[in-house]
Amino acid sequence: MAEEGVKVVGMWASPFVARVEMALRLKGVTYEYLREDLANKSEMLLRYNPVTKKVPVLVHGGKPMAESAVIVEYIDEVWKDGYPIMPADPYERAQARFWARYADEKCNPAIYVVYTSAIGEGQAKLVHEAQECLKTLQKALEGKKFFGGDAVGYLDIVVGWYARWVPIIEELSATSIVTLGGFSTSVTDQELPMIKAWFDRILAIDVVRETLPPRDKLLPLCKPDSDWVNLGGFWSLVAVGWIVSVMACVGSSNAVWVTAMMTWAGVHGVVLDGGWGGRSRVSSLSLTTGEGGTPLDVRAATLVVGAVAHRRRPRLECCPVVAVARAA
Amino acid sequence: MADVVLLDLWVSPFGQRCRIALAAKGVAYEYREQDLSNKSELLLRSNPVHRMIPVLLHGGRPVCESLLIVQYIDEAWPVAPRLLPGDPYARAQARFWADFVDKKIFDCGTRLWKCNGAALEQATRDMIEALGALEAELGGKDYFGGEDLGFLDVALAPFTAWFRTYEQCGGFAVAEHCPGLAAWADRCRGRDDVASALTDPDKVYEFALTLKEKFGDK
Repeated sequence: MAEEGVKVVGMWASPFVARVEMALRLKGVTYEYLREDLANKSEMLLRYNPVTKKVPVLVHGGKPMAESAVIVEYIDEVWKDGYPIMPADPYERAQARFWARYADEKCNPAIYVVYTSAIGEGQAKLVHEAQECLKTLQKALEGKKFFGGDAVGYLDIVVGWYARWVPIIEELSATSIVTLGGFSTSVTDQELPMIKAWFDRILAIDVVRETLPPRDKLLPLCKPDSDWVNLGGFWSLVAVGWIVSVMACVGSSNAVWVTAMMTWAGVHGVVLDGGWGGRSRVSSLSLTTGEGGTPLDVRAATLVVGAVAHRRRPRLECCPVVAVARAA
Repeated sequence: MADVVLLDLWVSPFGQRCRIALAAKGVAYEYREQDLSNKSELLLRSNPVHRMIPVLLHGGRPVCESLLIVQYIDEAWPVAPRLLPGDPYARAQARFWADFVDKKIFDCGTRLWKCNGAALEQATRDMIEALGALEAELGGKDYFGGEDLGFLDVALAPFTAWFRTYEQCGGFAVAEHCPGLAAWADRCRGRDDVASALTDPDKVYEFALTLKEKFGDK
């Protein structure tokens, strides 16, 4: 009876949905997965979760419930003879719930902000704050293989997604949050070995690895896309025949599309190698004028930066450093 | 130190949740008023992460976060009234709505005393909508928990002392928009375990005005 009609309404790249699936799989519960398009929410989702209209929603025997952390506890209570998720002792349960809240309220936003940050002094401070949050969370791990002890438990399920997402964020934002590895920033050259070791351990668990979105699917989703954007500003500059030089990472998607646009428009332009060795980010735009060496008007420069930065993904809105220089 | 100690602040609705739960369960405890402008060593040691009240100390071990404390009280003293119901689905619903109270009522409430102008109008609309959702969830029952106090009742009851403040700031009447909820609030305040924990609504309003003076938008 318990297994009757278990459905998960979710989206493949949501870490919160992953929590629910992880819990169900640990219990060995079969369920139907209903894929939701978050840009176009279904009538079904709005009926199941009219209050917050979010995924995940678990539907069991026709009864819907929302909030991933609440759902995980529900799963543990219903299939209580299966894999134990919550600790048995009330005090330990309170501790596990405390750290789950801390992770969601403090660590998640701190990590997200690093993902949306631009390279520079400000970013180093954000990385440091994310590290401080994770260092605090680490206290719940001390002396143990997993947050749950010898085996994966509630808190591992709640924060397990960090093991997949944090390395991707480190790569895309060119930072070290957990792993020192050639992406170090000047202020925060430290790593979090306990967390890193836990990342390796948790990804070795079959259920976790199978439930988390695969890295090769997730990475392209998180990268800034190279769609054409609002280029009103750019074209207004092009119209007056300025030469634009773009300092970018050669071969990056940003450099490719800017070059293509300039070629298409017949604009003289040069792509200078930003020297970051293949990391796909435009981290600055250097704009120079053509003959005469007239410095670029700051407002016009802002228009161009705005044109480049206007993306679906918010992260580039706090990008780049604009260097405005006279032509040599 | 007594076996059960509560580190708290007189007017805190979060602390009051814990007081209601302890009173409902008949648990004897020592109440220790905290000075948040000069935090005690015990508070800092017991809640090093947030340094906030309430903190429940049971046998010297600290439990933090009001809703977690209430769940802990329910589990550590598994006597009537059972604050969380036996049925897992009902438990999930109670937890969901308690989380909603934390996210919506407290947030809208803060904006009501803090903001002015268009922001205040938005806060009023948001509060009325949130209370409406809770009214629908109550659905004509005596308590959210059914016939007796439950988890969601404990989570929301302290905020009834703030209804007068919300009404004064937002220029609306709870009873007009949510008569069921207003009746529930009266019912809760008629109980010793709730009434003894709550602050007088006039004192709450006075307190909110001092907050507005100090932290409100200019």
